[in-house]
Amino acid sequence: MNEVLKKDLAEAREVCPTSSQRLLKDGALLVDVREPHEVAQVGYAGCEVVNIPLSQFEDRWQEVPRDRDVILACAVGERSLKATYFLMYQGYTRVMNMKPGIARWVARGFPITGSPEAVEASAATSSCCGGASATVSPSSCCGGEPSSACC
Amino acid sequence: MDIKVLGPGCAKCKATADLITRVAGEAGKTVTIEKIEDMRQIVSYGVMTTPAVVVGGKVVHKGSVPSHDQVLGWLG
Repeated sequence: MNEVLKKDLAEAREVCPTSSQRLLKDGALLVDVREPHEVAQVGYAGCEVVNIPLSQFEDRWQEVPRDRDVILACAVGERSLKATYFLMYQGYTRVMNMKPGIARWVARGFPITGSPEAVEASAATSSCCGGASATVSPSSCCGGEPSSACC
Repeated sequence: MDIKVLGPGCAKCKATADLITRVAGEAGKTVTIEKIEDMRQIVSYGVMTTPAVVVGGKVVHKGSVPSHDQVLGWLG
């Protein structure tokens, strides 16, 4: 395994959905790190948004631009916090974490795709391990089988 | 020997720390295991998948519970 350098990371900047709206209108990019099946149920809309699931993030993080503000988001702000720190580790400076996530976004009446009823289900899979479902990815924080999930 | 186990306190993280302790005992090696559970600290090693193991400041393993032989190899 490659030698990995430990870096001291500053505390991630956090923004709420309402503050995010202003930043997105000013040109920020929203990166939704939820898994595709969650996005299919209910998704962020009304802004420029790309989906890079946390399970693919280590392979795809370079798709995130460095030259503009980027807001990482998920269901409640836990997975996206991890992605935010990972980008900070990679030297990104214009990244911030949206907390909370899609549920508050929906509650505020901000634009979405899909059904708002799906928000509850999405939030249920929002822990670092994606809940107790069988959809836990091998590359999630817990990896492997759900029975050994961390939560 | 200082070994760090990175993980959010999940069952696999505990299993990893327990395995290292057991293998070190069997091999007659003295190790100090530090569990790193804070997400910022975990990612500060460039790690997204846990449990991960740091030996001598180097990430030697990530994403699963290591095997007995892997641990033995780290203990030298």
